[in-house]
Amino acid sequence: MCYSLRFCSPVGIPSCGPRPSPGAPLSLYFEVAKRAFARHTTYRAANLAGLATNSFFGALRTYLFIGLYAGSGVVAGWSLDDAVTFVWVAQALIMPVYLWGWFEIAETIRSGDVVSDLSKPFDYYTFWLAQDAGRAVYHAIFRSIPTLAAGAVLFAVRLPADPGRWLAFLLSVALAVWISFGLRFIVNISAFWLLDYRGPGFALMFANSFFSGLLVPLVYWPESARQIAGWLPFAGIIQAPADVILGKAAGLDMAGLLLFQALWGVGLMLAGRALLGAAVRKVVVQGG
Amino acid sequence: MRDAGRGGSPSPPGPLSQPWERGSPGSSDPGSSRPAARILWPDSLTADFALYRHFIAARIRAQMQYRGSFIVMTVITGLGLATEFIAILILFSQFGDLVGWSVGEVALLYGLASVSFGLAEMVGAGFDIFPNTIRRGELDQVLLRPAGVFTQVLASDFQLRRLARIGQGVAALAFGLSRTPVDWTLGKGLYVPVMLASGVTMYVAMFVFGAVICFWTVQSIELINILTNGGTELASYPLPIFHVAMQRFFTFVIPLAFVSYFPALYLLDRPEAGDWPGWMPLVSPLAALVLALAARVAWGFGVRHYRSTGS
Repeated sequence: MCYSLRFCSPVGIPSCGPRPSPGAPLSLYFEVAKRAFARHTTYRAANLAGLATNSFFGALRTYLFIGLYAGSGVVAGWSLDDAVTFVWVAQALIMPVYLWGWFEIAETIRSGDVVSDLSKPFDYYTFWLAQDAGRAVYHAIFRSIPTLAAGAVLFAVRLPADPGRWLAFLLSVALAVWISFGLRFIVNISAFWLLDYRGPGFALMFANSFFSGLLVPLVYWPESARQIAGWLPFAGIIQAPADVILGKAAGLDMAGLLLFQALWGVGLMLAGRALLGAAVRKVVVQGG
Repeated sequence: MRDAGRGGSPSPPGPLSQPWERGSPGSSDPGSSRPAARILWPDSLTADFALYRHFIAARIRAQMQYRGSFIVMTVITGLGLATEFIAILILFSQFGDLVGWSVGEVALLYGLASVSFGLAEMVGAGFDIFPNTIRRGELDQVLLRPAGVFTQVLASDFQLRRLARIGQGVAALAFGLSRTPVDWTLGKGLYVPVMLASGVTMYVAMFVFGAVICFWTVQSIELINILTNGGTELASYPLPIFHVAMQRFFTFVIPLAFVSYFPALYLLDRPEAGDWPGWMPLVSPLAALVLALAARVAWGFGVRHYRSTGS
């Protein structure tokens, strides 16, 4: 049985629990994050193409809202400016939170490489989180900022300059990445049990698109549906940071929102680690 | 023996009864030394049609082997796509209408685009995943086989689960038609299969173009994705809401407006139809034919000049 959340030994090694070594220092995870960042800087062409995609869909949704609002001033408490700003903030956030199609862990499970990863002297969850953090920083710099710039150039989208709000926004985005990682981690770990992990993967992609407010901002949802969606973790992935930067959540509301995100981050982390523990106890390694 | 491959059921596999045993020389070389008419319908397409059906049948059998997985994936995809449509319903519940188009009319646009795209995805996805095929060097195997390259690639990724998008498109169409009764005439009734076939052909042609680019660089497939996926989303809404440049692009360059918008103008007898000439509905099949021709020629060109990734 595994009692230590910090390190779970792989199947086949009878001893379990804390390793004799003190565990990996924080600098290791920082290094891992830096390497992940560096790795992603090589995907220049793919990034440019992705930027074109973000810009196209940003433009498409902007025109949709312009058409919908035609004449009306404020609908459901949001003006046209709010809606258009949201569209571009959402497009900018898609890549840092990696909304769609992340299967890196599942692929190591499929290939069997996961066993070697699990036997390394660091915390498995934190290792992957660090990699995702490095990747998220890359996408924030090289995708989000250019996407927002495109919005500014094409549609004069302006974000508020208030530094306090920006600080809260960055914190909210970091929490959003954490929540998204937690969800992706759980879905990937399911590959220990399911031969075809694309099922949960696709389900997550669709849930991410819909319940995060990307397809239609939560503010427009009918009241009862919005109440329910507001409690789900997906709302913390895009709607929450967008609400912060748009100024729709201020003061106490903002604090509450950040707390909501943090709680989901913790909850998903605990669930993911529990699932990982169960998986390691009952590992089925495919491949090889 | 030739008849064994055509008509009813596929003939059982045997050493010399298969179409490819008869040989299809030069099937990857559609134009240079043959009469011009052969570009439109090369020998290989007729001989390979039976082959194509064999491939499809085999792929369907393979996908049904993992029946549980297939059903789950199709259901999940269906629900996921449904959220796209629900998003439209939510927006309309707040905003009422979109530049004079009601929710039923937009549902019609969305349904037409979804059905065409879904059918095209089901049939032509082999070209969509072509960058992977080339990168893994699998095209060499395809070229070595004595059967049409086009047919093999076309059949290479037939996905039964795309039925989810088609089904969802049909549901959206049903919703739209229930909200916005169409004044059916014989002309309109005959036009429906024509416009669907045109839409599917246009999408498959775009997939082929995307694949042809892969002969030279595997980088630009995302741009084609913008045009197909983005174009489909664009075609789900009335064209005039977009910037004039986008309207012109998707009418005259990548004519996806002919998948949903112009057919809808005609079916719904909308006043905007008066802005365009009366023969506008005929442009859909014409545009599809032109695109298909261009794609076929481009494909032949690409295959002939292909240099493998090397080993």
